[in-house]
Amino acid sequence: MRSADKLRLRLRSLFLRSRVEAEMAVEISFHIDQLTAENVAAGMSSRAARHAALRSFGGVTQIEERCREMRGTKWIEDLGRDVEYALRTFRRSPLFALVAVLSLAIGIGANTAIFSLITALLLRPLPVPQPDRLVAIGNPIRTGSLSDGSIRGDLYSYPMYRQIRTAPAPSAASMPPAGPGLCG
Amino acid sequence: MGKPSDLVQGTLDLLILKTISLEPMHGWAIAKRIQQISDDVLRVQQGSLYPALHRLEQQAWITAAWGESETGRKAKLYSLTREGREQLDKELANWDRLSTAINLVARMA
Repeated sequence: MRSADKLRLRLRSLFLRSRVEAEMAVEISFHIDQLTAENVAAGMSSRAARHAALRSFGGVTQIEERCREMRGTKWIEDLGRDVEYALRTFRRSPLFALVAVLSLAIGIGANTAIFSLITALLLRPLPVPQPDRLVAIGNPIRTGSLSDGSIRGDLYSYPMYRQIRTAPAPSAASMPPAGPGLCG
Repeated sequence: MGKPSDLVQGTLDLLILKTISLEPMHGWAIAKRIQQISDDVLRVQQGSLYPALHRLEQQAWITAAWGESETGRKAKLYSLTREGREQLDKELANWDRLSTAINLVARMA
């Protein structure tokens, strides 16, 4: 019940803003008029009475602003104004806008690309069961060990591995100098 | 106790809720009533009154309707909601507790 009322009030101050503002102005001017009337009754001239009323009321604009803050929709209104202002600036200098958008796009794009690579390579386990049992096959003399971090392009491709696997047991003559080996 | 800062912190809500619990009132009348009832000791400044009214309204503790003032002008009249009445009871209980505690300390023999 209460939250529904609160929501209704928030929506009202958002979408019926001019009406809410007008109501607030009426409310405050009523108060100032009452103060003025009181001052007149106390014997002031109507001009002096009005001045005294305004003075004792304090800054109307500040009070209105604080009332707006209390409505709790101020941040949305401010956000709307900021967006509007940004769009206007963009329209005034489209080249600047283009450069800004492009540099953001490139920056975000590059970051995303690098991050997705890093996260796949370093942060997540490889997307296979038992990734610790993966091996690379190659010529060990020329490739060295993978765990040394020295990959030198002499690893065998997967089709080649399949061929080696299905090939009949190699005879000594067909063996390459060092023979295919596993390196982990 | 001239300035709003001199009002005990947090009591403005209580004063407003209590004042309009009797009958719907506009801001001007609320300030006047508080001043009269307190024998001119409590003066609610407009600078705190209207923001407080708007805040209480947003909390759905008070609700506003347009009516006529005594002089026949259009005025925004505030009245308590059911939740506001509950809040008033809570604030009253809190105030009793606080003032009793302060009295205990202040009048310590």
